[in-house]
Amino acid sequence: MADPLLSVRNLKTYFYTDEGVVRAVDGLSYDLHRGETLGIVGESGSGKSVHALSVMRLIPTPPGKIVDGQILFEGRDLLKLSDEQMRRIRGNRIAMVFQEPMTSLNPVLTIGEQIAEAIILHQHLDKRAAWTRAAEMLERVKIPLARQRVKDYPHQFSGGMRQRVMIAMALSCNPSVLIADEPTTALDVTIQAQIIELMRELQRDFGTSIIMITHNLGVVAEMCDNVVVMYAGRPIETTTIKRIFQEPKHPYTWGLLHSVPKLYERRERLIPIEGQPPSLIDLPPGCSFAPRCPFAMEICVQADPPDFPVGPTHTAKCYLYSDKATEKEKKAAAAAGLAASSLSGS
Amino acid sequence: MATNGEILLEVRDLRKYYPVTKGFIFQRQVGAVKAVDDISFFIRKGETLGLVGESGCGKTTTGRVILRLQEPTAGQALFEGRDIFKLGKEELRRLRRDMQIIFQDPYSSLNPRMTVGDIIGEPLEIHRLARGKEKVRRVQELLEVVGLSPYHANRYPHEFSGGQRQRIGIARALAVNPKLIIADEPVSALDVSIQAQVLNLLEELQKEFGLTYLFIAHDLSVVKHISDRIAVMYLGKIVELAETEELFSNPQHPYTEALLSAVPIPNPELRRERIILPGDVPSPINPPSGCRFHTRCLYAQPSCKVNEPPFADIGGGHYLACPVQPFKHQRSKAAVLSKQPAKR
Repeated sequence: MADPLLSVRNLKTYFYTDEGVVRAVDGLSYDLHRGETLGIVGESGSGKSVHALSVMRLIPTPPGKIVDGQILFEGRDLLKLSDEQMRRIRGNRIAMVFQEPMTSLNPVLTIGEQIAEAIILHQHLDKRAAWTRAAEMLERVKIPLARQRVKDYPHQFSGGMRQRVMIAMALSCNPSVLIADEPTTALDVTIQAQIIELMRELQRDFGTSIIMITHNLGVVAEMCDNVVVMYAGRPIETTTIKRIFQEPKHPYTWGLLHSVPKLYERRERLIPIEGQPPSLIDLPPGCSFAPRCPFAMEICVQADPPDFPVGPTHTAKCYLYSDKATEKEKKAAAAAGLAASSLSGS
Repeated sequence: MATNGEILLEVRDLRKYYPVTKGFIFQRQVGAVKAVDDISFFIRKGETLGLVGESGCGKTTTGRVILRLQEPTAGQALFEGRDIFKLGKEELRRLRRDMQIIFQDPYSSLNPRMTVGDIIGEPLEIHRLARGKEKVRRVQELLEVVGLSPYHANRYPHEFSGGQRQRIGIARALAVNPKLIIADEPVSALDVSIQAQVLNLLEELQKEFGLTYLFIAHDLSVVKHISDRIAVMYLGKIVELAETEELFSNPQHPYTEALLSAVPIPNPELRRERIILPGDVPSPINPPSGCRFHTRCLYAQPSCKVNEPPFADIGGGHYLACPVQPFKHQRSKAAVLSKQPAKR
């Protein structure tokens, strides 16, 4: 396989607060290839959004700090770039779509001004050309009457339309990487379907690589090629989209799959994950999922599990796949994995 | 699950309009937001009726008007035969023992300056159900019922996570032994793993205490999981209402079909024909004439722009407001194709 376009290596982003050190991202690694859509899945506090801000180098410092790791973009470590160099990449080569279409646009500037700003800055076009480009981008994201609507203000657009504007803005400089942080979470399902369709289409046309950050396993299944599941700042399972649903390996992934009510399956009772996610300040030693894990062994509370290979292009941070687990434990885990997979039931 | 049980709540021709005014000192009404516009439905004892729809369709307003947290513009709501909208202040207060609500946002629906014990105990005092030691005992019991510990009574809401707060909200609703609970998006602010815990809790409580739920949500998979029957709302109107299995296997309204097909399914092997609705939901201030969905409907006929479709039973308790019925003789695309796994 060719060199990855973006390669995150052992990224650690901590926040230094009065209560202690919050390990928001604690050792995240992944590769993003050209034209790929990578899903980063996790619940609130799993570090998925902080990771995105780290890649964009938008972590507020202090209190935040990227304490370790590398973010290699086309072979260059973004963490070693000067602010000026980073500014040339941010919004130009790597762009981001934020979750809140209601708050991430500037209310006192027209849509056209906001899109043109980035084009003028990065593509060095003059104002007239930048405005033409802005109108074209609005057309590309299927905003009706785009040429008139460039002169409108954000409040004149609905939530779904604003998210289209955000996407137009992000794609206006034809970036190599688009980071979409929960781009459909604030939207109604019929509008969400429109945006997913639009993003797929634009990816085909522009060849952009996408990092899709979401908590919605359905969105992941529909959009992504590969997926990283995060829990308490760590990537606990990494694999292809097919394998995560057919052969999930980590007990947390099983829990997630079980927790979601299925639209086209009958199920009497949901199987939730018991307990609460841990506080990121006083993480217990060992695996951070161990306190909620029905398969936890002695070793799990003592040492942090490394990545174990569990199949082709599939790793899981779980001692069930080490020689620490007995045959019996492995068997129980295999049965649980099958029960959670999309191959069972239905 | 009661399929032919007694009717606990019946809502008839309910309307709630909010005036739109113009002018600063002399305000004139220039229009109305028709948040809920002539809806009728009933809930049987012990059943869960799901109310789904997208933001702004009037589902929350419906819940609030039934509790008279907001006054209706017109219509009736019969609770055990008595019209809620005709009750005086004292009668209403007494009726509220029987009808409680769980709110969407567990962060803003608990008073941050009250302890959990006071929050759960307040309805007991208001309705003069328990005082002093008896109240303390009852609060502790309620905390255990919702899966918290008795010692949590002395803590404040900020010490709890979202899921735990929602449990506190549920305990508060249960305190007065209500018959009907209106749950307004009770799990939409929660993470999926916690969401499953709360959904299970709601189901257990229903069994244990024989509760009836009006479950308001926008997440179809959640509504499907918990409801016996489901009503689909669009722009202030109920467009379709049927038993859960019937609605999912045999949706008749084009909006229901689009809504079902829009939900992303967590299974990459399932490929469906997705129906993407064009455009946005129109404003409820000047809703489209005739059928309100005609501006986005793929099957709209010229008559849909003029005639408001009646909401009628098309057989077996399946209510529909669509005279066109494009799927009458064929099962809808969303329902059929979604069940056929296909290689990507």
